[in-house]
Amino acid sequence: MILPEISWLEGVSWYVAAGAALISFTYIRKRLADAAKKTEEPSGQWLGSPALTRRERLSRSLEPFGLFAVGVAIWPIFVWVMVYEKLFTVPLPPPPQFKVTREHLRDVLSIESIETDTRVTDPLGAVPDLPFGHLNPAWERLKTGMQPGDQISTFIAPWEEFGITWERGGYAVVRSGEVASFWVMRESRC
Amino acid sequence: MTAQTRERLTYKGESAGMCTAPLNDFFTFVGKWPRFARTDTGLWRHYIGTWEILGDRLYLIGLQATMMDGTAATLATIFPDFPDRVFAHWYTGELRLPRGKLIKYVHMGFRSTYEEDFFLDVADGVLTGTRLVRNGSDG
Repeated sequence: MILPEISWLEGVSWYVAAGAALISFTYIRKRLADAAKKTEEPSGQWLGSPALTRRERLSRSLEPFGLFAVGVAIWPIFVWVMVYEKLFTVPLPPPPQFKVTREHLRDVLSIESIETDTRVTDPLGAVPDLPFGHLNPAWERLKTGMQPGDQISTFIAPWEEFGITWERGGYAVVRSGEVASFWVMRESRC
Repeated sequence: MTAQTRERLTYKGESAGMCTAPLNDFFTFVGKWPRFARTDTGLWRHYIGTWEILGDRLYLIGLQATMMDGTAATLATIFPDFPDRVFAHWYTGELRLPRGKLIKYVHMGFRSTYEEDFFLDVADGVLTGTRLVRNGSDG
């Protein structure tokens, strides 16, 4: 095969044009997909950014241009990654789910004692006079799932997410010694 | 992930940007996230909360957001019986208020470093202490 002779300037021009076309095509396809989603879920207005510094605002407004320039410069890498992913990538295992087991259970309590001890008061009256205050709907939901013979126990369980270890606490519905459902209502970083 | 727009907190009469979002915990604990309209990448949580420490308590006193149907969301949208003030009794942790000059900009979350960080420690919505941390010039 005989390749046509072209100058380095023509070569660079073709390279940049191909990159610009690829990036533009990807961008337009993404915008069309977003627009289709918006017809289902109408989007709102931008809220403004009162707490951003001038440098942060400048950085944010220049971001699309920078990404476009980088994309045009290294577009063959994108193509290689896309092809590689199509050919060699295996699906990732599902992310770990937070679970509460028997080992995490602490104290079995009656509903009456829980509802008495968890009322929240406020001198300005900015909380409802209900068990768990503003979190009451979640407590009611946990109770709704209870069956005759079920017990409620507190729990404390570790949880790791994005490399950070947390301690989660709350209440669990215990059925025949096993955790039937639970409600996380406290979380603190270890 | 882009640098995120801060919450607002008034403490001892001074309003400042806050790099903590206690309302996220509320949505997590209640198990329901309101259908806020998407904004841009600088506001992944899709709302800005306005907070106040009054006495020794943390209160949510304002909310700026737009719902999916285009209507403006306020505090009453989330807390219909408490349209003006909500005691944040669900929150335990620290509130971070960066101060001074920007030392190191990080284009992600609230990770930029400023000269100082003023922390307010909160337990069950009640202020338990404050700390001032001076950050090194190398970030």
